[in-house]
Amino acid sequence: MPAIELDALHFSYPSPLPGGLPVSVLQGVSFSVPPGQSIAITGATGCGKTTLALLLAGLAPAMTGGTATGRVLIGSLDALHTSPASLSHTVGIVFQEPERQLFNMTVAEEIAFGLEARALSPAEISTRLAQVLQQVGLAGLEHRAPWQLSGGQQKRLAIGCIIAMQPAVMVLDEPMAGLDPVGRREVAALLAELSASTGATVIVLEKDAEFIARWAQRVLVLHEGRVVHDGSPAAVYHAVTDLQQRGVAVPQMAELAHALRTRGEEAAFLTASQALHWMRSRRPAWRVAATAVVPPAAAAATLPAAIEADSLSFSYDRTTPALDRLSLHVPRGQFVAVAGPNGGGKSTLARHFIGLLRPQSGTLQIEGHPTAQQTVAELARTVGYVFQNPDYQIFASTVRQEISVGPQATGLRGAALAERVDDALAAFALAGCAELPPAVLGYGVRRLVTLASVWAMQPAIWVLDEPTTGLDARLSARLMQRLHDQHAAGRTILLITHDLRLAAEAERLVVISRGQVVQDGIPAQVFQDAAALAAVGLRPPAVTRLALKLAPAGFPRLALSVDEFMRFWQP
Amino acid sequence: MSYEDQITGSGWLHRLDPRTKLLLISCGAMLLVALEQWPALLALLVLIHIGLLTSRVPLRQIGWVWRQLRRVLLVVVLAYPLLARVPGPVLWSWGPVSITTAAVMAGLMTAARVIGMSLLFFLLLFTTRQNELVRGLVRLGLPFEWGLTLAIALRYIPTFGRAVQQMQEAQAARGWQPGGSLRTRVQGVIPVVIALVIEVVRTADTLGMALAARGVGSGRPRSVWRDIRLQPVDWAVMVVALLLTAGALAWAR
Repeated sequence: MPAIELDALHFSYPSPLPGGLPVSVLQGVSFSVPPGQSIAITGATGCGKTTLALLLAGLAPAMTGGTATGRVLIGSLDALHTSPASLSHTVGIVFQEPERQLFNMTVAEEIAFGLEARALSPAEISTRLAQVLQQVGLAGLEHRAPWQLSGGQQKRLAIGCIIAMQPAVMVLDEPMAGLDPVGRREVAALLAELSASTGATVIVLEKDAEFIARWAQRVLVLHEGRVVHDGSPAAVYHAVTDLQQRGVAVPQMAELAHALRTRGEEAAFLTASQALHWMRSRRPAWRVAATAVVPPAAAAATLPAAIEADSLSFSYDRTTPALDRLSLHVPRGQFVAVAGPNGGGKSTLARHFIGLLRPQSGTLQIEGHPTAQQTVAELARTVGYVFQNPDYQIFASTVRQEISVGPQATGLRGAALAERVDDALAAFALAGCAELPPAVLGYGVRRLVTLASVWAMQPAIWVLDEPTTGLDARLSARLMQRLHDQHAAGRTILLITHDLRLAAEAERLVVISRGQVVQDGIPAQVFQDAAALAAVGLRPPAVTRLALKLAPAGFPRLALSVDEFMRFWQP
Repeated sequence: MSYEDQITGSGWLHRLDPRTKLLLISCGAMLLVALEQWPALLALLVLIHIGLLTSRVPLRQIGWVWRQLRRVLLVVVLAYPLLARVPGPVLWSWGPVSITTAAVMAGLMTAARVIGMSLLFFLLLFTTRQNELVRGLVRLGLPFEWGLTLAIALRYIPTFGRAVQQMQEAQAARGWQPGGSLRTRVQGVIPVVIALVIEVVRTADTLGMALAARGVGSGRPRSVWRDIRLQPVDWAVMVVALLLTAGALAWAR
């Protein structure tokens, strides 16, 4: 008997607006999963992944409202007609946001909670607790409060709570979302052995293609509520063009293999090591391409500075420094990517730029003026700040009003205001939802609204704190395109990101760790020193790693993107 | 300062059974209401502080309660004599308004009761772990779901506090000038309240599902991993508390 069997599953939510039509999310999803399989379900934002996760756990429609037709069988249980609490014996679900599912005061109580619901004896709970702590690598932290843990630890705890209940099926909604590279690796390592160590069928709903390519035995691609691909990662990620058109992220090596195939090669690989193997077997003779791009020279320090931080120090508790005598000179008009581990000082630095934090020692000048004497509102005329969580920065009752908030506060009125807002709506393709309340829009669109809101203020300096978190490939690309437009218009851009594929698009990459700048240069230069990056938990993009590995064989230059790599590919 | 990072100590109050502490604060509350004599009231306030301090509740947490209440206390002390007509020798009068010495004293006494009650409440909060509090209330007859709801409410107050702070920062970053007239201030608060309500609803939705996914609502009996048990010291404290309360009430008559 399959572990999971879906048959012609349709699901729709009631309309978020009074009198509106129901919103159809799944439109006839059928598939079956044998016991013990590790399966990834992927797709663009709004494809129905999260809804599918809730249906598998019996939480939709029971707790979300909406209408489901068709069949969801978990083993022999009918998930559509079993109460969530009863189904929790068979299916465990891990939600995306740790903050909203870790509701106990200590790690141990958090794991014990579900076992108490199973009415296990205290002795049994203690035994199983010890096992699970070991398994998820949290032994020794059992008395910590969940919110004191790092992002990766929180995710591992949420997974541990489910492992403890020993379900036959585990459903994980975006386990990689919101994690820094270190956290990702921790969670990936745990997931790698999850099915083997528990015997459970594991379903991961995820956007991260690099993770899926390594982890999954099988990939399903959802698009507009339908399954459009179903097969091994190698088979599914073969269809690069189709996936990209649907906004689905593709592993960079799959993209490279696709580019090689369009040149008539028979290339098929998903990881850098597979690609290396393939290329070595081809024994190509590299020669320096005539069209080799010269890396842009790092901007001279003599240009007028947009941001001038000198020996900046800051500490939240006055003992451990969050910034430690950090100096950074950003010339006007530069596009800078900032990377580094969480807790290393990236956000602390960025919050200084808009005056939310003041230097405790050292100085900071924005466009030549010290921030110490300016209010946040004054700085907001120069610095456009995009915060991490879109839901903490949306205030108005329609998208149009939301975008007007900033320009209005700076004194824009009447036709000029309307024109500015219309431009912002157009730039982010939001005209269609201008009159809708932001709260009814999907996460990705809400993120675009926050960007449009800052765009409308036309700041000279953009500061963005991990803006692509939670965005699919297409929205992420649209965001980067707007940033490149702003850069071309002479604006200064400071992009905080964990995604070094995006960082590679910047003119300069600054790595911050332990409150200090540990690497600073053009991305190619920073990527060259893979060991220094590894020390702070970062890895260059796959295509760059491949170029580095091929350098001894004569590959002429460090490639930052698939296009760049292909320029040098002359077997 | 928040409920999240409170319970760090392991003093004698921390080790008491939550039921014992509930009895303690009930006795304290009863006395705060019943006692009309200044010496007795002050002694009770001192006793509460001694209890907190000997249980190694940090001074900074006690100070935090005082600071949080300072405005309320000030309003009580100032407004009480104006609003409550207590007969007695007139201290000061202006037209129809007259303030008596007794009214001033009554205001001060009310303020003492407010701070006393608050300290008692925080005594329970500062020294009791969330699950023990819930367990204690459930053992006293509260349905489990109610106890859980209370515990979760306490757990998430600081979380939403942080959310509000970030929302206000985001608002400032969009050019909003804090301060100004009452009207503009209210206009500034409303959007944050709306954003907060949306955030609370979203959190509650997921939380409800997370609880169901961990077996809440199955209607089946639960086990308890770390149950609470009344120790000899609990009985001793309860007896002493009851005797002291009875004695004080008898004396106050």
